[in-house]
Amino acid sequence: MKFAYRRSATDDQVIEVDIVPVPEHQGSYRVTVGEHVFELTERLLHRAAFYKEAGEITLQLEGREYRLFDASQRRRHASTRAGDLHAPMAGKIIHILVQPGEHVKAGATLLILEAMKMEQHITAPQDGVVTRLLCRVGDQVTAGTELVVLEPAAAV
Amino acid sequence: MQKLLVANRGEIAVRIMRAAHELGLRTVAVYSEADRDAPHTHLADEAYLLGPPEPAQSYLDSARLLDVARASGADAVHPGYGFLAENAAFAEDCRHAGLLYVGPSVEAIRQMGSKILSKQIAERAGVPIVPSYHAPDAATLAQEGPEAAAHLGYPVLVKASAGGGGKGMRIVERPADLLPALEAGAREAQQAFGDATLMLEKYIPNPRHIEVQVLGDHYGHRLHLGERECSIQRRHQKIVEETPAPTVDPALRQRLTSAALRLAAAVQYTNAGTVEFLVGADGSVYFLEMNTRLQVEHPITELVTGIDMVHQQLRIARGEPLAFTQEDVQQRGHAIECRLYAENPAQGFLPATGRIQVLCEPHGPGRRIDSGIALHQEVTPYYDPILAKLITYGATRQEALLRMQALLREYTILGVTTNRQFLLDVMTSAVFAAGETDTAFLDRHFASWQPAVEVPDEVLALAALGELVQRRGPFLSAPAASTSVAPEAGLTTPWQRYDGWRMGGQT
Repeated sequence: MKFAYRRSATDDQVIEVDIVPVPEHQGSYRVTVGEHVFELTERLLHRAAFYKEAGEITLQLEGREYRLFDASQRRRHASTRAGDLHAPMAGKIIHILVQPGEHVKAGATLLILEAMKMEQHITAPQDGVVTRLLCRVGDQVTAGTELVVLEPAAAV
Repeated sequence: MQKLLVANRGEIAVRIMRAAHELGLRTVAVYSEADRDAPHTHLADEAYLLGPPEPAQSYLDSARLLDVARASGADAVHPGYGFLAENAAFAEDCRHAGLLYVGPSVEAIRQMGSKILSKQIAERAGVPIVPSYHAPDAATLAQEGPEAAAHLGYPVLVKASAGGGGKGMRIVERPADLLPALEAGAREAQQAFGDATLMLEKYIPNPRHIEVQVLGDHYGHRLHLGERECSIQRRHQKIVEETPAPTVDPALRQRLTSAALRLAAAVQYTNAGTVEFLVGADGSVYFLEMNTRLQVEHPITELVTGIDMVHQQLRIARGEPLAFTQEDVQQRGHAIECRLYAENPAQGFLPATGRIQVLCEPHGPGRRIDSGIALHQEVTPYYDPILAKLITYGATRQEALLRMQALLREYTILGVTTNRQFLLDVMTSAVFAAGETDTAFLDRHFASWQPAVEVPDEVLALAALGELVQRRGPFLSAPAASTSVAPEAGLTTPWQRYDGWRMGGQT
């Protein structure tokens, strides 16, 4: 059986993994990852932890935690696109300090998110103009929610 | 005392309920809508819904808590830590309602709860304090703050007068940053403690944070249970504690514990309390604050003294005299605590949320896990993100440390991002092994910490195996899974790579 993974959600590179049972050893598999070949037994799974949700796999092995991504799911957009500002954590919008059309300097606080009694300032990564506000004070947002669109100064 | 209401949630509510059951008490839990299925809700003999998840409408609603006490017939209240634990008005309301409050007197909570008054009392008791400035209100603070800060000398610390735990606290390096820090600090203080009053303090760079546990009964007996080293902090909140402190020698211990007892005597302190000190690089000692409640890190003291602090709290509250003297308290061995938080250390320790999908809490000799979570529980954004406390004991610091490393390696939690791997990396670092801990420890050694980013091919292979087996049928993914797979004939290690790679080996 074939699987395909990415090492990060935004990675271009897809790694093909092929797994076939070893007929002479029950519960044993031959796994090909690129040019590496491994022989694994199911017993190993009892020494590791595995969880998959929405195309994202989390594995804990020997105390290390790893994340990888099912490449059959659509690749996520790289969040490096200038302008999009996302909630870094789930929480409540408690303050919005800017208005659409406002010019801001790099480092200026745009809005404040609060969770678990802790404030998180969402700041402008560069000089620019706030083109859209996508949240209101009091909104409960989840991690990754787009909150505000900032057009970099160079583009204005 | 027959029936104890525990006005808290999470691991500490579980801890207190167990102690109460051990002493033959019945227990009453309170819970918010977010905690209907939380372990503390199910552990108590009775459980009452407080209201919506927001703390102000649930665990901070003192009127509702007193209603529950009345309805359930509880005759005592334990506040735990956080929430209403250091709220003098709540303690007073409990006493007016005829309830035993498991904690010190209302007066002691009030005196030590005020950063201003507590320092005046400390100073009078001959306990050294950090120079500071207090204003009666926000307007005066904004007006006089700049001059006061200049007088103290930058950097200065902006702190909430009413609370602890780093809420509302900011280091201000330059005069230009002072007013914004005062505004943000006031907002956070108002939200966390319902009181926006702030103060300024001279900032002592890279001190060690060392605290002394005290106990007092209602017959004038007071004693200390030694110190705890709590310097490893992020966002001014502790994440690792140990006792005894590696850097405290008998002379310093004597200074710290006698100062703590002088302060406790000055307020006729009863029940459990903690006196916190900053210890400068030169060995200078400054009183920081007194926490008039059970401390998060109390288990390490329990492990080295053999004294159950919650038992003592309940016994003291119901009027028993302390059954031992200072001479009876002997510290044996070494204990370390790591706080497991739902947070992302690679992203400024931001709180994380999610559902716990895999959970394994591996117990064993010298290990104690004070946990408030369960499999499939939702970790919500409403409360302090502490999930569990991992505590180890050893005859020596080295033994306690080896046990902590193993415990952190084996502890498994998936579905919500935690600081487990970060804690493991701290516990396996040479700098922690050397005992070089001060409050700048994490900034100095772990500021750019990242989890293992590159996923090795072996892990990709394992993922494929995991998916294959999961598709085939029921599959227990936690390492503690009780169904064992029979050893396969002809294979001595679970992994065999044709070019010689072996699981766990670095070669």
